Amino acid sequence: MNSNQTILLELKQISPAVANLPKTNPFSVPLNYFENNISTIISLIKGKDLTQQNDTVNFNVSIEKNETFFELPKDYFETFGIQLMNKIHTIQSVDDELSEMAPGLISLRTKNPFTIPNGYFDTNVIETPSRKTNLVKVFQMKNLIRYAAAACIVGLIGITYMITKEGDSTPIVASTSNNQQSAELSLDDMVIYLEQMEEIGHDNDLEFSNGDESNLLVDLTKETIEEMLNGIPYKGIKEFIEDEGIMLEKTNN
Amino acid sequence: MTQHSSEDLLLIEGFKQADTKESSFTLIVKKYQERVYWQIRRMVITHDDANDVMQNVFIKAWNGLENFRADAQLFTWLYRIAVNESLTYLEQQKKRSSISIDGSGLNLEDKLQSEKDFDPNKAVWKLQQAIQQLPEKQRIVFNLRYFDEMGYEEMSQVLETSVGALKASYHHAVKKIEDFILHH
Repeated sequence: MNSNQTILLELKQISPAVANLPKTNPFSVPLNYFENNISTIISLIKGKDLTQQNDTVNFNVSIEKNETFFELPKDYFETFGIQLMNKIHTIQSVDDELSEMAPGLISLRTKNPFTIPNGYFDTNVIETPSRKTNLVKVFQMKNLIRYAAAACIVGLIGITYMITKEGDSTPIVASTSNNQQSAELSLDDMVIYLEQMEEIGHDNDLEFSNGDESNLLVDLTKETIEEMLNGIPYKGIKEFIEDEGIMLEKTNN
Repeated sequence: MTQHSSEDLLLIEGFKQADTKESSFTLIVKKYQERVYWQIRRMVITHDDANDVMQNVFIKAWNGLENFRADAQLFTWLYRIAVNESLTYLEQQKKRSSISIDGSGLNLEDKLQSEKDFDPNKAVWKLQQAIQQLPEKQRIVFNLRYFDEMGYEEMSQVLETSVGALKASYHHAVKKIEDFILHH
């Protein structure tokens, strides 16, 4: 099986619809494009090569002759001196120019109507005002207080935030406040509190014992007790009383 | 090592000789230009763009063939240059169109519709429209496999991608084309 058949089979497996599409090329190219294209490419490459060669030659020449690629007029350096002198000669002095334009002004040019105090230029020493340099303290108490106040505010905000944000911290603070409250209580208050608590505890005990007794007590009549006692031999009763008596003595001790 | 055709080896050797350089290169262009052209044309759509890219491809081939190593086939090497040049050209066009006010030259779909014989009712043009919907990589893989009937091994050399990834790309591309054709 050649590659074409393999590709077609693969395509049919993936999508029979695409495999059945016509495989013709819808695009068109200009007539004789490929025939002419070779010469176009070769001429392009040659042109590129030629440019590269020219660049190389120019570069070498510039190194060897130490020339620049900027253009200069012919014999520029030879004629430069003469051109410069001609330029200087053409520039007129101020007096020459003024004599041409207004000859009457030349005599007035040197006369100055303004006067200055005698010896002004000799005595006039320009006093430069001594500059007051403002010493800037790097460490200032005023600033320190400001920063401290700012830090306190930030700290307070932070603590408040922590208290409100973290739910776990609340009970700790609460318990701490309870402790503080208990610390503020007087001794009498504490005694009263403990007595009250004890009474409450006793009441609870009584309630508990009453409850138990009510469950445990059985109504016994005299007859029943007599029957029960008659069932017990005298000797046994005597021993029991004696034992109870010993027991009572032990408890009294 | 890749098996070169004896003809290609002769052409490469001829190119490396000064007296036969130009004639050998002419023969290389003559041999591969059409295949390279159509690969480029399917990517950039218009003839003028394809012509520009192809000239760049062969100018690069002229400059690089001197150092061409025998670890790839000549045609594979030319194809790789063609793919890279086409992608670069399309990228440049995207940048240019994003700068230009009218945004011309951006949409390949528009370029396709401006082709001389374009007919959306014809299956061949519908297939081309479907191909233009594909992501760039899938479009290249589909064109190389479907039109140029290139093997996955060779394609992996051109695109520098694993065979498995190429097979997956081709499969997705075909499925997307099928979906487009059935629903348009």
